[in-house]
Amino acid sequence: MSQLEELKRMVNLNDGRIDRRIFWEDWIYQLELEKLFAKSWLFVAHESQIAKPGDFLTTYMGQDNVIVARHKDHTIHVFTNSCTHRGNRICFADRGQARQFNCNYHGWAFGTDGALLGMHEEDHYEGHINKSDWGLQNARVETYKGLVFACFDDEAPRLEEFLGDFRWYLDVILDQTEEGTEFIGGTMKNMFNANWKFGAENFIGDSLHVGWTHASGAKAVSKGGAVPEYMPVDPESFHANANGHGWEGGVDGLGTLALVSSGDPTLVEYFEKERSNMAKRLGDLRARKLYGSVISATVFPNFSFLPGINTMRTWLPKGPRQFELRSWTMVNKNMPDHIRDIVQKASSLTFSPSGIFEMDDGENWENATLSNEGVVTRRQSLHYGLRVGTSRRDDPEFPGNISRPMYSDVNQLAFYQRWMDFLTADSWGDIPKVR
Amino acid sequence: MDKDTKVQVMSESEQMLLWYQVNKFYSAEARALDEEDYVSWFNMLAEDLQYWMPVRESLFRKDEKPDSTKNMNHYNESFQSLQLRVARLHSGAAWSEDPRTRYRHLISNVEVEVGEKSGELKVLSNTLVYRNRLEREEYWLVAKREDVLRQVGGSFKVVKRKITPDFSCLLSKNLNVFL
Repeated sequence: MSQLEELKRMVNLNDGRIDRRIFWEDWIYQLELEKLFAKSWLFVAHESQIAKPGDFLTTYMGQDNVIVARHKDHTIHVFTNSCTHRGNRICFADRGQARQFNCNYHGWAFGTDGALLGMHEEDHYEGHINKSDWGLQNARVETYKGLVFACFDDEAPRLEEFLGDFRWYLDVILDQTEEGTEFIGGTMKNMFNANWKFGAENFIGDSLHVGWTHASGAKAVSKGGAVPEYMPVDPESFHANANGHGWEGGVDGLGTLALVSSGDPTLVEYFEKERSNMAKRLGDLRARKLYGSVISATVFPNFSFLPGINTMRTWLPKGPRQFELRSWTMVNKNMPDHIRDIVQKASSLTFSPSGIFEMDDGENWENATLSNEGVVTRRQSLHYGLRVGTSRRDDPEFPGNISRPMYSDVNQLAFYQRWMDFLTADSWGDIPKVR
Repeated sequence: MDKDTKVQVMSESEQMLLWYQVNKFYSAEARALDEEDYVSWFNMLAEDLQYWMPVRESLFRKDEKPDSTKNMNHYNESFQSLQLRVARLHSGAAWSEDPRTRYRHLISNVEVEVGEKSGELKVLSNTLVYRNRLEREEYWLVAKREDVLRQVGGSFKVVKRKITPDFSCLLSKNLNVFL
């Protein structure tokens, strides 16, 4: 059996079975880098992080380190952070302000658009180098309501098409106000000895872990009360997925806001007043029933967020058994300082490395990955069969593929279906545009 | 009288006594944290506590700015919010802390100055926190601590603590410890 045939059998969508090797094998990880991360649109920044010309930050697309920079003409450029002379990294700072990037090795200088501008002691070349041939590799760059995405594949569809129906859900957090959103300063980074997909699949649909994994955090915020009071058990809660992106959540409009308020009514009262303005932009369904509910979401492949808690994060792969999590808190630009402060503290208290919820996730993901070092252990497939096959595309309320209630493996399987679409495709021509 | 003058008017033996008392306090605090004895720990903290640990970044020297609580923080806590965090551990449902993490807090390089308010001290120290968990998990955290201590009875309470970590990327899956 060819490797490709073997791979295709590792995700069984009908039975909801997944082969553990997709979380372990080096050859599958290398396929992910080449066929997924080098082909897909990937989140790289929020526009507020690079607001002014010369502002830049460094991040990763797959394992490719890239510079995301605002050029002097205000356009955003994303290009490889590796000198075309000997390959050294040209920028070592996480973020900052620069007119150009000078390589430390021989002083080759690159612009904020990735173009080679010149080099130290250029005279030695006596004109025998065509500098326009030796710029850095630029990715395609597009934005969606403040979020900056980049893609290294010329054949990929436009970002809007890649996001597809999922834009309707993204707008719930990105389009509440005319002024839009921004990230607060700085980047939280930490490492997990786990496969990156465990983070992405947890945020795309794993409501089932909340009541158990996070029982300790829930008891802490509810002062020992019923666990977990804020989780919607109502049958209207749902999974939605589109093109491999997914959203899971309730429709009570309150669960997350109550959770992060810890008894202080300020935040809930603020949003109750804001909802009529939000409804003008988003409609009643999204402004009153979705925003504020317990929700988590993933933009395929590795960008996740929690509306209400407002942590935004990307799971950066560092090998099959290691990833780096980078996270930020997002706020509306028009939020008053005291509301911004509540959101920021709530996000740190709940979902950050020290957060009372997030603290319990890492151990699960690490050991779900590392137990597969056992060859016999690795032979046994995993159960992803909860409410498999229950999603419908023609829901009267919600776009995308919808399944109710939110306790299921439906979105997780949609994620792995999309993952398989990429890994088994030779080019974007083989990848279904709509899923 | 400025601060330098105040320290100067203390005799050397008075300064030594103060340094000894602060070190004794830090050893007891470190032991409380090592043993997850949060009842004792909260007794060492003032109720108007500000407990802050900003996120560090690697920036070009020209882009460095003073830390601000308005940026991302590992901790930006009050006495009450620290109690909420500890309540998680005491919930009986913190599965990922059972078996327990083995902690060791080592405090060194203590420098004591007179504080800005009377009855307060400004103290610098370094902390090295060792964590070991399950079979082979081992993590080291190194940080600078800038404290304001209030003299209460024969001992102290921490009024302010700023923890400046030496990592920009936390090399572990969580930060399940106070520094």
